[in-house]
Amino acid sequence: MSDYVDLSKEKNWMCANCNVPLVSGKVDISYLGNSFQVNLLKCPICNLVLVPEDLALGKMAEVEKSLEDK
Amino acid sequence: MTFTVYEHPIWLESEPASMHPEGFKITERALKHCNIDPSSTILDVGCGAGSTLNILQNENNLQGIGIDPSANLLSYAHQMNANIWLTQAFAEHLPLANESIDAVISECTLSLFNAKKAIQECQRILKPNGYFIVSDLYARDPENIDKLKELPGGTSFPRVMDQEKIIRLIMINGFKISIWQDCSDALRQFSLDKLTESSSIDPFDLIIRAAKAKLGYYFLIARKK
Ligand SMILES: [Zn+2]
Repeated sequence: MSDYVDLSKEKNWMCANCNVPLVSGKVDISYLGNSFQVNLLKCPICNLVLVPEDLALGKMAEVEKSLEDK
Repeated sequence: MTFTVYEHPIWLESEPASMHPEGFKITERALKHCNIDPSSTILDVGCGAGSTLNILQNENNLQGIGIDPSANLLSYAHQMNANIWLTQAFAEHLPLANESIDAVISECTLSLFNAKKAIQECQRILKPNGYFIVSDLYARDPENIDKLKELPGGTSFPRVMDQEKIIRLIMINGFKISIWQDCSDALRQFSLDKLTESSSIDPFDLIIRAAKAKLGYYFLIARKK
């Protein structure tokens, strides 16, 4: 599975609601019905997901742009 | 232990239909256009774990035979159903006599093969007027087909063709095309998990490149001249 957790950059993230450290875990992603899982940091209690900035501005943005062009 | 992409055990965990977009519905839809009866011999070329052959036998009362290069998948297929003739072979070199088969099914496999050689072999073993039933991925934007070539080998993507090329290859090798039908909607609900798990393709890259090449899905029926 593709892993988008870079612990060297992201080890100190806490969930502000639950006050616990985020942990690496499987996250379901879906675009127009095509679903897949990747590893991202998320809160073990409320499941809030941290999307790293370079993923959000990079591949995720590119996916959205390419699906718009379709 | 190393596996090729489609031999990866993850494909065998759940219902085998998940290997193909929309499961068997497209092949079944295609079969309705063919005049095939229980006395016909049907070859599933690249039968994998035998799921299509089982459906043919159990739900359509049709006896198929299967070839696949993977001993792992064939042994799984044999465990599931010992009443089907299976043999290990490549589509480019079929161990079958000339004009011995009534219909060939190639489900999501043509772009894994050397397509030209596989088509020539299917033409050789089919009886005159025999059916060649193909469903597979294709690029609806030929100008961006190169985007798929950069995806990892071992999957269909790098060798996906466009409609014109597929039809030309089949026609110049002794067939006439009866039906071409776009089924791209079938890709909409396809879970990418198993594919990305077994092949190390990055799912974001796959979606981006598939969208650029306008990756689609088709079925066609050709008849041997
Ligand atoms: Zn939380």
